[in-house]
Order: sequence, then C-alpha cells, then structure tokens
Amino acid sequence: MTIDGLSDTPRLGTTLFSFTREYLAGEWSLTQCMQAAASLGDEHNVEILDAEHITSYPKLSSTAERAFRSAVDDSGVRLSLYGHEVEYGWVFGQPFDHDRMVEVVVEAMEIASRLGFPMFRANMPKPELLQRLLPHAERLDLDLVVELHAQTIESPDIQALLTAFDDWQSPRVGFLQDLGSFTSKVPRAFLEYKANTGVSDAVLDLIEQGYREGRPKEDVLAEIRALGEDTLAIETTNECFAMFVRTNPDTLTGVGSYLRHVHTKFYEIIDGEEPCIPYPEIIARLKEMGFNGILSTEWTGFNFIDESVALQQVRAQQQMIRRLWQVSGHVQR
Amino acid sequence: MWAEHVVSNTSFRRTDGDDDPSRFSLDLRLNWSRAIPMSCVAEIGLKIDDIPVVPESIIVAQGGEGLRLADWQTRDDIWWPVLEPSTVTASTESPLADGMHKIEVELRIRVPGFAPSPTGVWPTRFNRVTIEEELS
Repeated sequence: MTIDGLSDTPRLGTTLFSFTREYLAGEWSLTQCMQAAASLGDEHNVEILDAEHITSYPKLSSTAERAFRSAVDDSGVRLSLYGHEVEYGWVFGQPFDHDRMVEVVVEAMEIASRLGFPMFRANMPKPELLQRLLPHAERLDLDLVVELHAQTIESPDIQALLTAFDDWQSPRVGFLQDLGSFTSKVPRAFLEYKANTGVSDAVLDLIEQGYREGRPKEDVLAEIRALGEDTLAIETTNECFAMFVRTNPDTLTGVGSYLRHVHTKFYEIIDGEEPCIPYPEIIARLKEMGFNGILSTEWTGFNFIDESVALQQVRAQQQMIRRLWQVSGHVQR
Repeated sequence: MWAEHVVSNTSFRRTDGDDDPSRFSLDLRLNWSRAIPMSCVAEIGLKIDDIPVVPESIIVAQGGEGLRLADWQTRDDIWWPVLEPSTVTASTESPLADGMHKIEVELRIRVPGFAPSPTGVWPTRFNRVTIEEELS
C-alpha cells in the first residue's frame, strides 16, 4: 500500500493448470506444482482444476484429501478458486437432466468447502440452475463465479445472468473473467505447432491474417475451402477460432462490480510482453475499475510448446503484470 | 502436444501369465487433462507394425476391472484418473517376435465438460501416437 490508501501491488495467483505438462508427465508432483507457485511471491494464491488435481475425483477419498492438504501445508500457498467444470453427462446418449447436473455440482462444492476453498467456479448454463446452488453456497461458505471466456459479457446467456445477478442481490455470486477473451492475434507458437503437424503455410497465413483482422470464422473457412484444402486445415481453423476469442477489452466495464476473479490467460511471453493479448490496456482498465480480486495466471502455451518452461513463463508474465500495474497509475481500493 | 508426450510411454510388454505369443499389454495414459469416467472412452485403436490388432481381443483394465470397450460404455462408476494408466491387452493376428516394434495408438474420448450438440453429438478429443518400443 502507498500513502492515501492507494495500492501499487496487484494480488497475484497461479492456476495450477499452467503446470499441466510438468504434472501429467510426472516431472512434478502436486506438492511441487504448489511449491513452484509459492516461489513466485509472498502472497501466493493457488487455483486448482478438480478433475486434474484431486486424484480421486469426482469423490474425495481420505488418501486424496491427505495428499492435497499435505501439498498445501508443505508449500504454504493460499487457496483461491476451486475450478470445477460443469459436466453434461457421463454416459453417451444419457445427458444429465437439470437435477442430476445440480447434484453433481453440489458434490463438487462439498469437496471445495471441505478443502478450504473460498470460491467455486460454477459455469451453470442457466440462471435458474445457478440459483439452485445459492443455498448450498451459503451453507458451505463458498462464493460462486461464472467464467467469461468463449461466452463474453455481451453473450445473450450472460446478459440474462447479469439481469439475474441484479435481481438476486447476492454477495455470493460474480464473474470470473478469462483474459483469453481479449486475444487479438493468433499465438506464434500455435502457428508453429500447426505447421509441424502438416498444415500449409498458405492456410496458416490465411488463419493468422483473418483472425488478426477480426474477420468471421466462416469467411476464413470459405477462403480455405477455395484453396482446396483438406480436413486438417478446416480442423485447424475451427480449433483456432474456438481456442482464441477476440472481443474488445472495453467490454470489461460491462462486468462491473460483479468481477470477482481474473484468469490472466497468456500464451507466451516474448521479451517481457504478451504479444497476443493487450495487457497494458487491460491492466489499466482493471485498475480504473478498482478491481481488488486475484489476478490468477493461467498459461496455456503448454498446448503448443513442448518444453518444460511453465515456471519461467509464469514468472515472466507476473513480472509483466506487476510492472503494468505500477505504471497504470494509483487507484483507490 | 503434451498429450502425445504423455501417451508415448506405453511400457509395451508380453502379457503377464499368458503364454500366447500374440498377446501383449501396454499402458495407456489419458489424452485429456481431466479425469473422465470410463464410459467416456469412445474408441481405442491399435496397430502393431502397421497391422491392426484383432479388435475383439482388446481388453481395457482400470480400477480393478478389465472389460471390452463396449462393456465400459455404461460404467460411470469407475474413472480414469489423469496420473494413472489404463492397461490395454490385445492380440495380434500373428505371434509377436522379440525386438523393436512400431506401435500406433489411437484414443478418442468424449469430454463430459463439453455440452453435446442439439443433435446429440458429443465433442471428443482424439490423439494418434506412433512410437517404437522393444518387446522381449
């Protein structure tokens, strides 16, 4: 904190999902993942993905609970958000009905509470389903956040949720903004990786240029089909436009006071900057909004970069965020 | 990319307690970063030295049970954890000689966290990995 109650340090955290490659390859244990996160700063907030980091998911066995608690104790991290993905069914042809969907989420909320998490990601597809979780959130002392990523604050479903939030006036609900929603360019590493899988330079150029210029996916696909390209090219285009989401950072303002948590998504730090997401603009906007939640680093470059560089990348990104936060001016919290 | 890295170490071996020279086992890791119920394993394909194994011979073991893939399709009570392999046992048409073999593994899973389309199509994750391992 600085004079006049102004802060010049952001609250940082790390999603352990960033260390997926190291964890799944057996290079790092859960404890080592948490220790890596803890090495990044004094107050280090860690977020997990339940189906990845709880070894007995969807249940919490006593063995898994002991292992998890031990990892937290040994590393000294603080738990921030329990990342749960709402599941739509487990058996082909038998999608969950709403009752079963809620039941499965509540079971996950029980685990989150038992492990000591204060916040739970509940991407329920409808406001009325999220509302059914509210009594459980009260009982379990959990805050519920809905993630904005592929669905942005401008999506009709999310606008309906925003209206519901206004109606409920519950301090238990809010949004998690994934900054991947503001991807303005296709990451270099993605293009390189796809080139290595056999996608032609001509196709990758069309994808890169089309995305950068903000053209609709269907237009890019039409040009690629006109080249007589194959299934791989079509799949790559679809994957690119699904994985990367391009919206204007100005839309952050629409999230307003419901913004509770941020995934500071990034793909690759090059020379101290993330070239594909306009971080200077976004960090300035977050400070203007008086955001005082956690900026939780989420590195997904491991999907394209087959090297054990996660910690180096996460550290570089957090240095960038600290720097941008300081130069963005002082805003009262 | 990480999935290929993870799936690639299969510990290709002759099946324990089985004298059949065409029978083999390998360990298969999940190609997804979240645990899934075994009912979501949609497809496992295997080729040894470019020749498909006998499809009906494929048995997948997880959680203390070994079943044909078709019999896993309703089993949402046993899950495939991300850090543990499923053991796949299968037979080739001809006896397998000692030495290096080319192994092609295909794995397709349904992702429970992705919503099915209005027509019921469930999004899947697919990987094909080709490796060489020694059998002795």
